[in-house]
Parts: sequence; C-alpha cells; structure tokens
Amino acid sequence: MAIFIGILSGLAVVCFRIAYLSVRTSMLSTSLSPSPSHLLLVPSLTGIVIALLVIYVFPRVRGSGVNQTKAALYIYNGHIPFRTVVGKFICSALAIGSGQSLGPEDPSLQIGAGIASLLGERLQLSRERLRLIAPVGAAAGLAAAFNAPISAVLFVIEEVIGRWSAGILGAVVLSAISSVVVERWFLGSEPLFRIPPIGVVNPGELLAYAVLGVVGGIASVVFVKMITYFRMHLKSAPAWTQHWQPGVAGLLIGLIGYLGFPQVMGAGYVYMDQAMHSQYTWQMLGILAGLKILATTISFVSGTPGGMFAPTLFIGAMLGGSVGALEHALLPHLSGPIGAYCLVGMGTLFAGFIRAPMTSVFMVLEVSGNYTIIVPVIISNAIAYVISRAAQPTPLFDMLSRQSGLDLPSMEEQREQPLLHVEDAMRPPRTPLLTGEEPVKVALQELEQSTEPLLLLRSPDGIWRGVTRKKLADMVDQGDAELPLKTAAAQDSFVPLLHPDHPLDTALRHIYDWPLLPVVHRADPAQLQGVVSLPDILNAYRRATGDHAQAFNSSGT
Amino acid sequence: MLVLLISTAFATATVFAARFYESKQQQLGQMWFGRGQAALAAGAASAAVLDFRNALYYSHDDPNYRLRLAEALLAANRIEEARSYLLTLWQDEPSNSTINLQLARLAARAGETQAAMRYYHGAIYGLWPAGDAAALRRQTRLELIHYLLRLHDATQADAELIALTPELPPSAAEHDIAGRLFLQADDPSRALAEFQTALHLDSRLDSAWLGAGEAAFKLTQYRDAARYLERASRSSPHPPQAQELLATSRLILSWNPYAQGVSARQRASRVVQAYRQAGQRLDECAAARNIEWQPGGVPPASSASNAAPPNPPAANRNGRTSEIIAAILGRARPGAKTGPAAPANGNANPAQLQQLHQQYAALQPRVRVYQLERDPQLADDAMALVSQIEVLTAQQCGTPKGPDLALLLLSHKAEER
Repeated sequence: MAIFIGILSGLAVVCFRIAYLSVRTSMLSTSLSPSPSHLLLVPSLTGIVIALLVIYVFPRVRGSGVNQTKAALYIYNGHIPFRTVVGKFICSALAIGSGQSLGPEDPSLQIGAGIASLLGERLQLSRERLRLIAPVGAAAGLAAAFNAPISAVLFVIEEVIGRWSAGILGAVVLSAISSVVVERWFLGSEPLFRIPPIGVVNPGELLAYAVLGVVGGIASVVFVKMITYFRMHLKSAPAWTQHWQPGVAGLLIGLIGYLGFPQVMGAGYVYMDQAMHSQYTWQMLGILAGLKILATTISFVSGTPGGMFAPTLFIGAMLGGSVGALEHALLPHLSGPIGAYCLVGMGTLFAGFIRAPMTSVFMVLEVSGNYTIIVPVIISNAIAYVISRAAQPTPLFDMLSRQSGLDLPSMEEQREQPLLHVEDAMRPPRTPLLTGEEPVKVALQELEQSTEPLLLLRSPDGIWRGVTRKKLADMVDQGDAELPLKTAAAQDSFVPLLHPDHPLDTALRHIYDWPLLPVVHRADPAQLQGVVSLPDILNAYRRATGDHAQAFNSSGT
Repeated sequence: MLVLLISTAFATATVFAARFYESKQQQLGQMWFGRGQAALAAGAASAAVLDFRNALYYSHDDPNYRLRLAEALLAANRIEEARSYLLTLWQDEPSNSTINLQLARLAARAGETQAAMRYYHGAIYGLWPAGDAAALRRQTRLELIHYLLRLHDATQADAELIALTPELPPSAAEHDIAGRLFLQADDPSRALAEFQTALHLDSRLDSAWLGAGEAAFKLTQYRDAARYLERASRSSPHPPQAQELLATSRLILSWNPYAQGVSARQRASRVVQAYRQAGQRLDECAAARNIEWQPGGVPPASSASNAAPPNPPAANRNGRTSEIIAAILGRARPGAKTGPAAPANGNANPAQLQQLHQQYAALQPRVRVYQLERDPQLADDAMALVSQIEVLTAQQCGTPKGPDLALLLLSHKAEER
C-alpha cells in the first residue's frame, strides 16, 4: 500500500509541477524578465482570485501544509478532506506560478498526505492506521517535490511523526522511493540545480563556514520573528481584509520585481543555480536574501497558500554566497568556490528556520551528491540551530499552529524531553536479600519490619522470585511457619527483571503485578543493583519535571 | 476496483499532460536558444546571455545550452561566471574537447599555467562533438604551442611540435608554419626538415626559403644557408634579414680556409688574411679599452696592402638576424639585441688581451703563405689563435661585424666540429 500511495503522490506532484510552471509561462512570461505590466498586474490580480477561492471554495488551504498535515495526524485521526487537496493544488499552483514568493514542496507534502488519507478511508483502515498513513503520503509528496527521498523521509520523521519504528520507517521509505521513481520517470532525473565543483580547500576555511552559521542563525531568527509578528497582526485584522490581502501581497512582490529584482518571485530555483555559478556580486546576493525574506513574509502572512522550503533554500543560497564572496574579498587566501558557500547556506537556513537539523544536513548532501562538504554543513548548521534556539525557543511551525488555535505536539520539544531510565528511579532494598532457605516465619518478620511491599529472594541457581506479605501470613496460619521460604515461592512467582538502562516506562508495565521489581546487572543477573517500586517511579517523573514539592511515599500517597 | 480505475485514469492523464508539457518546454527552450544564437552572432553578448538563460530555464540540464551560455558570458567578458558554468560542464563531460579548450583559454588568461596545460591536453586528446576533429586537434595543439612559446618554454613547445608534425596535412603553408615554430623553439634541425618539406610541396613559397636559410645558418651549414637565402632574397619585397644573413654566409664561405674545394695555396692565403684581420681586431679592441701594448711586442699592425679592407660601416643589424647570431653564439635569448661594440667594460681583463697580443706577435713572423703551404699544423695554430682573438674580443668589445663576425662564427663552427 505504501508503494501505491507513493505512485499516486508522485503522479500528483508531477501534475502540480506542470501546473505551476505552466501558470508561470502562460500568465507571467516565458522569459525570466517579465514585462513591467505583467510584474505588477499578474501577481496582484491572481492574488485576488486566490483570496476568493480560499474564502468561498477551499477554506482549509491556507498555510504551507506542514501544520495541516500534523493536525490531520494528531487531531483529525488522519483525515484530510479531498476538497482541501484539490484546493491546495489549484491555489498553490496559481500562487507560485503568478510569482508569489512561495515554494511547491510544502503543498506537495499536504497533497501527498491528502491522497494517502483518501485512499485509507476508501479502504476503511483502522483509526490507528489511518493516522499513520497521512505521514506516509506526506513523505511521498515531499520526496517527489524535492527529488530527494532521504531528506523527505527524515523530515517527516523529524517534524511530522516525531518517532520511528520499523513499520513506520519501512512504509515511509517505500512511499518516498516510489514517488521519486514516478517523478523521475515523467520529468527526468536532473537535479533542481546544477552544483559546480566544490570542496573544502583547507581546514582554515571552516572558520568561514562558522561565520556563515552565525549569520544564518541571525537571519533565521529575523525571518521567524517577521512571519510570526505580521501573521499575528494580520489574523487579527477585520475579516473583510482577507479578500484583498493576497492581492496586495502580489502587488508588493510585483513591485519588488519591477524595481529590478524579479529573482524574488516564485520558487527561485533557477536563480539559486545562477548564484552557485557566481552570477552575482556579494552585494546583490545580500540584497536578494533580504528581499526574499521580505517577499516571503508578505506572501505567507497574507494567507496565500504555498510553502516555505524553497524560499528558505533561496535565502540560504543567497546569504551563503554573499557571506562567502565577502569573505573572499576580505581574506583572499580562502579559495573555496562560492557555490560551496551557497550550498552550505541553504542547509544553514534550513536548520535555523525550519529547525530540522538532520534533514538540513542530508538534504545538502543529497542535492549536491558531494560528501566532502559534510563538515562545513554540520558546523554551519549546528551554529545556526543553536543561535535560533537560543533567540527563538519555540520553533516556527509550533508558533504558527498556536497562532491558528491548534495545540499540536512540538517535535522539537519531544526530542528535548529527557528520557528517564530505571536507574533514575531505583534505590537500595530495605530488606536483606534472602536465598529461600530461611523459615517462613523469619521471612515474615523481616517483611513486617520494613516498608517494602514484597520480599525478594534469589535462589542459589540465580532465579529471582517474589513473595507477598499475605502469602507468608497465610502459610504461618496454616502451620507452615518452619518451612523454608522457597516452598512459599510458587513456580509462577518469577519476578520480571529490570536493568538500569531500561526506559522507566518498562517498569510501569510490570509494577501493577509486582509492586517491587529487582534491578540487576546485565552481565550478571544474580547481582542486584537496586529495586524500584511505584512511588520510586512517580518520584523520578516528578523530579524530571522540576516538581520538588512533595515526594510520594512508599504507599504511593 | 474503483480506486484502481481512478488511479489508472489519473496515470493516463498525467502521461498526456507530461508529454504536452515536455513538448512545450522544448519549444520554448529552442525558441530562446535560437534568439540567443542570433544575438551572439550579431555581437550582442549581453542579450545573448539573457536569452540563453531563458533557454536554460526550460531545459536546465541541456549541456549545449550551458555551453553556449558560457560562450556568451565569455564574449560579454564575464569570466568568472563563464568559468563556473564550464567547470560544471566539465564535471559531467571531462573528455569534451570544446569545454576543455575554453577552460584552457581561461586558465591561460588567468596565468594558471598548470591548469592551462592540463585543459589543453584534455582538449587535444578528448572528443570533439562536432566538426573536423583532426583539424580542430591540430589547431588546438598549435594554440598550445603558441602559449608555451609566450611563456618561453621552448622545451615543452618543441615536444608539442614533434607531436604535431606527423599530423600535418600535405600543405606547404602548414609545414612552413611548423618550421617557423621549430625555429622559435630553438630546434633548427627539425625546422629545416619542415621547411624542406614545405619547399618540396611548393617550391615557390618564399617564406620557406627564408626559413630554411635561417635554419641552415643556425646549424652553421653556411653553404646550404647561402643557397636558400639567395633564393629568398630574390622574392619581392626583399626580406632584410635574408640579405644580411646571405652576406654573412658568403663572407664565412669566402673566409673559411677549411671550406670544400679550396686549394692549399688558397687556404694559406685565407689563413694569412684571417690572421691579419684578427690582429686588427685585437688592436681596435685594445684601443677601445685604452690598453697599450707592453714593450717588447710588435707595434699595432698598420694597414697593409694585402690586409683586408676595414670593417664595413656600422649598420643597424636586423633584429631577427641579431637573434639568430646571438643564438649561435649562445650569449643572448631570442629577442635580445646584440649591437656594435659594447661600452667599455669595467670588468675587462687587459691581461688576457696582452697575452693574446704577445702570442700573436710571436707567431706573426711565421704566418706567410709559403710557410703555411708547407706546414698545415702552423695553419691550424694560426687559425686557433684567430679564434681565440675573435672570441675574447667579442666578449670584451661586443659582437663584431663583417669579416670579424665571419671569423667568430667560424670559430664556433670549429668548436662544434
């Protein structure tokens, strides 16, 4: 089924690409330099049409598509209305083709997720499977749009699902690969842009990439703050303003193009290619980066459907090229090509703005096919990510979802949550460890003197058993007080063993049946390292959340 | 079943849409490419750049579009941008000769010698996508040779010339060019062979006669040189260096006592003549250096009736001729000028001149025609002294002219023997 989803998503993305490119050539111009009248009129008039479509026909197509897919997964049980898919297709194609500063990848992600959702509902899948099938389609859509299956898989896992198991990973990978195969079969296997020969010439150049990381991190923060700030204010504007917001956005972007910067219109891949081939001065690259931030902010906050991946890559490429060219001018001994800086810049912005660090590294490698660039990519991405996190703790997608009134789980916060282990909760036992040879009455005495809920004993052959207080008392009442304790431990009283590195929730699965669990050494199960009970577990969680008000006692109160 | 039907319909629709889209993209790409070609042919490089970029927008991986864009960028003098595109193309097609040639030119322009050499060789030994590959290969190798000669790397240029010559077509002009280049690469023997081949193909090629004459002169084959130069000097307009070299060759032949066909008496006369000339040269050089002969020596030789006429009036020697003579004498690089007697040299060694003068004076009484006829060893000794005098005076008083130059060149020929 994953393959089938991948094929259908691939077909849809192929049609989507044909659609927005055809819109561009038919409405804007066949040339990269449209006429002034087209620059001003086409984006603005198309923006008005898009506004009407979004308000009256397809009300749920606003936004990039990533949060909408997450909402489907976490709120709507994997359901994405097909009308939304069609609306996203049409409105995003019109928006990108008419020159709005948005990208096709995010809408492709949502289109793929919608197709998967539709298919799952038709096949009457269970709710659990239906929830998981939307990300499978999302990965397929994104993979076909990017022509990069690995990055798409990583992004969906990193940003949409937040976890992986063998089953999920397998389905996501299969769908991504099959969609890419379909996309390449129709549109060829050429990359989105050609990368000139790049490499790191000497280790000192890594400092230059570190500087790029700093600049990229700052730019990411500025970009996020602009989007969230203006979006918040525009959302609170009167409802009637939504009729002309996309139109005004189109006019402003057209004006930027009219003033000599048509590069900021649309997705901008051809201009990234040009930047990598040293077509622009560092000043021009810097200006383009700044104007693209402005243009994308305008397009996105106006409610025009479309994605932010391509603009992020554009800004990163221009910023990277600008920083690299400026460093070359100031420090001529740095001899790495500008294309390398553009490429690293793309990953840097992706890490700082989208906050998907793993995806950003693999995306650069996948797009360039050049492994020598990995060290600068990691350095620059890491610095940008750290700066972005420090200055903007809440990631962009989480901010947007909260502004939309949705409380979606934050994948970044989930990643940052500490994972508790058994060793965080275990403690020394309060009763001596018995071998089973001791009389029952002695064992009962020991248990009554302590607060432990269970008596643990380890037989000479290394088998662990547990005996409750009630069991011992019953035996004494029956007159078996002198019998060895091991007779009280029935064959079915084997206690499950824990190890210190086990996740703490493993203990929770057994604690109801066994109120006290032994924690033993992995190399020597006979060696007791501690014990853990329910109050111990609860106290550990409490400490982790910073709540030190009152610890749970042994009875769990 | 419904799902499968819809999926099949969807796939079919996508196939048609993709085909239509692809044909449309090709049309638009070709349209812009055609405009770019026209603009480039009209010399509007900047407009061509924009048109080719538009073409690439519709087919961003077409190597032909990229190559033309790179050529347009070069024409618009946007070197770094062109280089970037060419490097990307070279990554995909490292054996494409056109791309290698463009990169070689860029590297040569930037002074990156190693890179230029690598790309030139890549162009020469690579694949030419269009045109006459053999002719293009020759042209490229010629371009490389010119580049190496500009860098004064005669050895490498000579190696490339050796590789070029087997590929030359049966064309007198081509062999003549090769000969010229061999001369510049300081390989006169191969140069002579090329000129001879050129003359064999077209005996009316005046430049080949001149080139052969120069090559033979450099090889100190003065009789052949005279023959070639005689023929070259008959062309119109008369090449000046042909006249000069011919005059010098004739002088050498007429003053050479060891020339073929010279009788014993003529040899003796020539030795006497040369001896007197050398003595005169010695005196002139000493006078120029303000050196007075020490007592005991024979006074400076006066002009005797059978002494050779004085040196011809100073005349500006043709630059090319000076280069050839300097190359023979092994003193200057091609292009350096050697003129009349150099100014007084602070490092001049009068003792050497004194010593030679004493030797000259000691031998002079015996240098008579009848004695030289009977004693060949005496003739050899006298000519050896003549050689020493001419060499030392050339070092200390500049390259001579006229008979002294002939005697000096003869002394170098004797050394080679």
